[in-house]
Amino acid sequence: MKKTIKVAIAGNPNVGKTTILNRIAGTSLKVGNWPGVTVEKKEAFVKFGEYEIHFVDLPGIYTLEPVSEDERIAVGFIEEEKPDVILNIIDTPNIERNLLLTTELLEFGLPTVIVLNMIDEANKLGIEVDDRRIEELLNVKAVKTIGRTGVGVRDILPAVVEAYEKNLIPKPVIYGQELERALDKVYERLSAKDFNKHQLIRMLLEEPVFSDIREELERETGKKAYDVVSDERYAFAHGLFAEVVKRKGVSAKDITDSIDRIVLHPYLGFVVFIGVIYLTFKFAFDFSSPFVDWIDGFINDFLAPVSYGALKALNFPEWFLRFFSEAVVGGVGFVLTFVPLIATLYFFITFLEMSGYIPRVAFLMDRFMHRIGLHGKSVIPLILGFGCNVPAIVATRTMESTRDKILVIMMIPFMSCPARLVVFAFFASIFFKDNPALVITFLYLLGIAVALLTGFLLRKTVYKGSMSHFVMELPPYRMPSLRSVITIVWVHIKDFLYRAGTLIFGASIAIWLLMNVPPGVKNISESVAGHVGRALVPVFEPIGIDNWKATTSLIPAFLAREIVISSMGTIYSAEQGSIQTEEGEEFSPSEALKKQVVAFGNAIKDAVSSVLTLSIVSLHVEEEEEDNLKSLIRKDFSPASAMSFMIFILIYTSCLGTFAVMVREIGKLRATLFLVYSFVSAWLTAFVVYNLMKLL
Amino acid sequence: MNMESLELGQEFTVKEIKDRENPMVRKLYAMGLKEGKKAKLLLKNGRVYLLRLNNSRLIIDRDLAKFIEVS
Ligand SMILES: Nc1nc2c(ncn2[C@@H]2O[C@H](COP(=O)(O)OP(=O)(O)O)[C@@H](O)[C@H]2O)c(=O)[nH]1
Ligand SMILES: [Mg+2]
Repeated sequence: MKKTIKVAIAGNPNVGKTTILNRIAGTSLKVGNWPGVTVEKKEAFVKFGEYEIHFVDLPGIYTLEPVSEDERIAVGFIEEEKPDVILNIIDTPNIERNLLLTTELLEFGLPTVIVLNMIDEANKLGIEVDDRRIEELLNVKAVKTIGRTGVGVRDILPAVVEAYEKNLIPKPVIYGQELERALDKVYERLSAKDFNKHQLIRMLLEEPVFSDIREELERETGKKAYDVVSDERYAFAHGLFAEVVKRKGVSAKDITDSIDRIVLHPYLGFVVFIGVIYLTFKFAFDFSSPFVDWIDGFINDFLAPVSYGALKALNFPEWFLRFFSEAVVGGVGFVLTFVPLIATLYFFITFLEMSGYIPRVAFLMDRFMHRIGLHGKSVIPLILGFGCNVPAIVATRTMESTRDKILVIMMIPFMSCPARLVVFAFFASIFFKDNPALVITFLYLLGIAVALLTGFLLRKTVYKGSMSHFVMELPPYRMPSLRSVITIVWVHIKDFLYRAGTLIFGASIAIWLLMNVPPGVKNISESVAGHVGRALVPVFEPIGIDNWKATTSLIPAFLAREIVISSMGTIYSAEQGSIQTEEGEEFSPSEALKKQVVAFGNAIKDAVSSVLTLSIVSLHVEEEEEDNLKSLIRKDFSPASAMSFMIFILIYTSCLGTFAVMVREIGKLRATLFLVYSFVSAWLTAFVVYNLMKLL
Repeated sequence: MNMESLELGQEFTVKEIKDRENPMVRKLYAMGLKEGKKAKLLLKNGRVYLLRLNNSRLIIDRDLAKFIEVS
């Protein structure tokens, strides 16, 4: 049985805590260059020697007096869970400020390892810190690292074990006489004696029974007790700073300030912002679209016929062959073709997050957001919503005011995520061939408009109240390493593939089964699925969706929006009949494989060349090759009803994950009311647009 | 004087920060903005200011800046 060492990773926001943990533990927890990436505590286990080390990555905090929820999580953990070792990570260029938290952590009297991270940036600024002196002064372990490249990270585990084994209790933090006397008096009055300094201070400041000691302290010092404590902590931290920093460096003009003069310029900044968004989508579309086509070909012209042939040769029953081509190939395979689109979009979103651009948007957008009573910081979760609504909602924990948090949570679900993009890309390529990019842009903007309107309405009705303050740190720009971006993208892809294999596959099976009961139904419109879908038609008829196949697809889509596509794939492939090798046609796997390899080469070539143009070239689908599935779907929709369908998918919160996280963050009642609201506004918006388009 | 009267690019020293009970002011303190500190006003954008403090950059809004007396 290995012994466990519980290690709390604490530090200011954006100092490299998660980067270092990922290095130590080989995890791929999310890293980003802005404060507030980690808002929940995340764990990792590492075996080292005879120990199992249990790391807990905490949200970043500036001080142990929490204001927002992520900060409360971090402080709560250190106070209540009693870690064996505290791993305090410091952003060396800002060591002066970081040492305040270090001082507060030392009050706990727990074995401590101090990591001086970002040594590379410190060197550039000419800052030099004496790590041996830190060890000597405080009786802790100190390690210098560059989290990004891994330099020095190897020394952390031995330091943690040493601090634990030797039970390296830091030298007690000693404050000024008056405060120490007051703390002694508190201590004397307590019957239990196992309190650390942090607890004593807290009791002195908060407990009514010690109000006399508090008043005496205030009389002696002429300051509020709270101010005495905080001044003493600053003084200690500052003394430490003066002792351990050998060279303070010069704060030279750096590249970040020069970039910011343009990027944060009140007018130029918007030009840059629009350019960034445009390029993100351009690259995401153009780079991915040759691969999307390739996967489509690979599945339908190679994988499906090969495995179909194999299943047939193995004498699988007829119903299973149908199940295979309809639910597996038609349903799941259909959704999988969009993996390249999702991957490239995440690549660019992650790149932006890691570069440090995202928090800049908060500064830029404050002017607009404050009109709906929110400050710029609330833009960050909204932007994250374009990646996925679920983590975006969790990210609202960095907000200091509950009112703002609820408001933003109710706006996030209208930010269009890649799952919706998949649906849009599919419909736009069938019904809006001339200008799919324009249609998709319109839908994204529509989502933003609904979000703003929702925020505005809530602000005028339920959530009045005044605005909270806006304080945030802006990190320097950092060039993300390709490796770290790809690690994060891979996490997203794995997640998508996992969903394809579970939720989406399950939904396809369910739909397929419902299409085949009662057993022996000849016409699938007579099946249970057909009946359910038809029962829903009256609800959707006014917005132009009048066929049961579309309405049936909407039901399982509540699990995740992509399921609309897989369900339609399943239903339409069933209607179309087996898509695989028509009888008589010779199918040669080796020939087909060769073709796929050539096609893949072409896809790479197309992807690279498309990136060199400035306009969005993909999605302008070539007229000739439209497969049967698309032409079947074309029969059931008009451009107006397709648009209406996309709008409905955009606005209605058809996503179990989002709903679940909303329940967790704002409660069941609000989440359910919101769901109803999103349904109604989706329906109304679709109704208006559908009828306008019919008029035109 | 008040932060509002600062010019872009101007360096200043924090003279006094009022309302230390306010949690956001406490946060500002913890972020390193406190009496005696030198900082520089980098940019303004509507209601928000961007400050440079040692090697960090802070965004604060104008209402909060009103608590800060500078010279
Ligand atoms: N230059 C430099 N950047 C680093 C170093 N360690 C981490 N980073 C970057 O700092 C940013 C914040 O890292 P993250 O681990 O998310 O910080 P956390 O908020 O403390 O968890 C990311 O962009 C990292 O790539 C380092 O030693 N040097
Ligand atoms: Mg983190």
